[in-house]
Amino acid sequence: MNIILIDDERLARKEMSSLLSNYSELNIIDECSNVDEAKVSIQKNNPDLIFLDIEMPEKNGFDLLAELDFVPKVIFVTAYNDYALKAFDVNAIGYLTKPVDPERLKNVIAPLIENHATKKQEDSRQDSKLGLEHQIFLKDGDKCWFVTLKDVRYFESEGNYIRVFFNHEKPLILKSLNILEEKLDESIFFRANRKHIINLKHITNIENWFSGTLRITLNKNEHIEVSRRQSSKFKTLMSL
Amino acid sequence: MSKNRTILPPKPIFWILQFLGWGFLIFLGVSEELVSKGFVSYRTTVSSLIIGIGSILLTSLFRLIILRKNWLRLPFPRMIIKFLIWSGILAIPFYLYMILGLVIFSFEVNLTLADITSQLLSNFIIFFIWSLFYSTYFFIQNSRLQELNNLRLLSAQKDMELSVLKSQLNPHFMFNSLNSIRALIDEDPVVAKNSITQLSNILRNTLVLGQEKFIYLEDELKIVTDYLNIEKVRFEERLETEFNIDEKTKRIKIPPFLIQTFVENGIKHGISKLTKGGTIIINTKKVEGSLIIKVINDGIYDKDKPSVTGIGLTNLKKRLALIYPNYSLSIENKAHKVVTTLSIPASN
Repeated sequence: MNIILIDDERLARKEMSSLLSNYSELNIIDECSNVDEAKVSIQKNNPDLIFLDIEMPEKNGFDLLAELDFVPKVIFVTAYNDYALKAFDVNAIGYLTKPVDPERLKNVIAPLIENHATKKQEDSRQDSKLGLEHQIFLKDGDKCWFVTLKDVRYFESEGNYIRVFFNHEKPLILKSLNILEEKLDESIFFRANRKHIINLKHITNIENWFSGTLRITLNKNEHIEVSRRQSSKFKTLMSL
Repeated sequence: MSKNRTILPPKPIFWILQFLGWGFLIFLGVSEELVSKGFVSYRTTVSSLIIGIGSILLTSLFRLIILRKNWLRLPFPRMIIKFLIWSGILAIPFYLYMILGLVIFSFEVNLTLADITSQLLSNFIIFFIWSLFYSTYFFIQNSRLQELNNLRLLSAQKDMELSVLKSQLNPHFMFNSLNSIRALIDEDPVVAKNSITQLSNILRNTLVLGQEKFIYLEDELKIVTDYLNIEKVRFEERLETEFNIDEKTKRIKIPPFLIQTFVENGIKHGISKLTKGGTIIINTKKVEGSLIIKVINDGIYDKDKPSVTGIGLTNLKKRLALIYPNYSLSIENKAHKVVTTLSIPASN
């Protein structure tokens, strides 16, 4: 299991790596001291897991995740279980407090190692596109979410931003719809028109609309009109 | 309590008491005649009005003199002497005014020596009593203010102790330090041991010195040094420090954790936010009667962005205002550095 340690303090990284040296399954492939370094390293090395300090100069740990398209498994490491972690549901993620208790580390890391071993065979998707099971990290202001793509109903562009609709939330993130489209698995996420990318698994109704276009309904009352060109593409896609 | 109280227009309570007091005296005079004779004569009515209006005006003037000359701040015997002298002096114009009034209304005026003397004497006594009432009221009011100020100082002191305790036991600082020390135990046991000593110094000073009202500047610098040494272990080459301490300032007494608050803010909001880190410079010097403390750190001060834990500075300002009514504190951005300058009176 390949790991990257991210912390602005050298001693903190050293402490973490010495704690992790007890796990032969873990292989520390890089250490980074700030968000920009870490972003480059993650994109290049594609780690399975990162240990991420939240409080760092200039950009913090959440900023890093928000800048990544594909988020590896994350264990947050923080000096104090404070407001930063309250930004979102702490139970949904793994986190450790400094100084790290080796016993607690074991509890957090053991299931990840086990999980990783069983998934190894099917893990050929390193450079494939983002599918239903992938997690993305969204940050809107002070609020943060880890979202599995299968929960996302659709993406809507708003200027330079994208609004992401999932569960009862709709945060706004700074990304372009065209770039996002290239990264998403096109057999699941369909570009309905200039403004929308929809998740095909969430469609509840399809009806013929004006002059050969379609109107798709997601989740009861979210209606999205499919452009003429995309409507015919949609029909061929669905007419198997 | 401000030293140079300018003469403010009197508060409504002053006029209320003036009218009630003098009105009551006049009423006594009038009702005496009413009881003994069954009616009030024209002469008594007019002269009562003349005396009433005159008394109110003259004692208001007396108030101005008392305030202008700052007699209320004199030692008690000297104040009483001033009151006696001026009650006597004011008795004369008041007597002339009374006579003038009576003449204008063409009443008969009795100008025997005995009459003049007794009138002057009674004017004098009334004014003196008035000045005693006035000063008593002033002192009661003032002692209340004093008491209130003392309470405020006390509570600000307690707030400070608490906030220093909180910020010193700042979980981020504490746990990060312990984490660094844990790593250091393998890497450099000597430094690790030192750090533990310094961390305990910080804890001890927080608990002990926080109780003091004033400490020597050099003792404050020991706290700051311990703190910076611990932060250096964490930040390593990202934190540089520089002290320029004027020998003459070392034995000046200052409230505890004054410099420490600036230094801590400089690190928390300045240097720790910079990837490359920075330098913190602490300067002290004595200029005439003032102690000037200057803390310079890399970073940018954003006064519009209140920090989550920004109680330190607010509290410090409150405390400074109570101890040094004319302290001056400025925080400015100068070429990517934050310059915090404090000037307070230098007392040994």
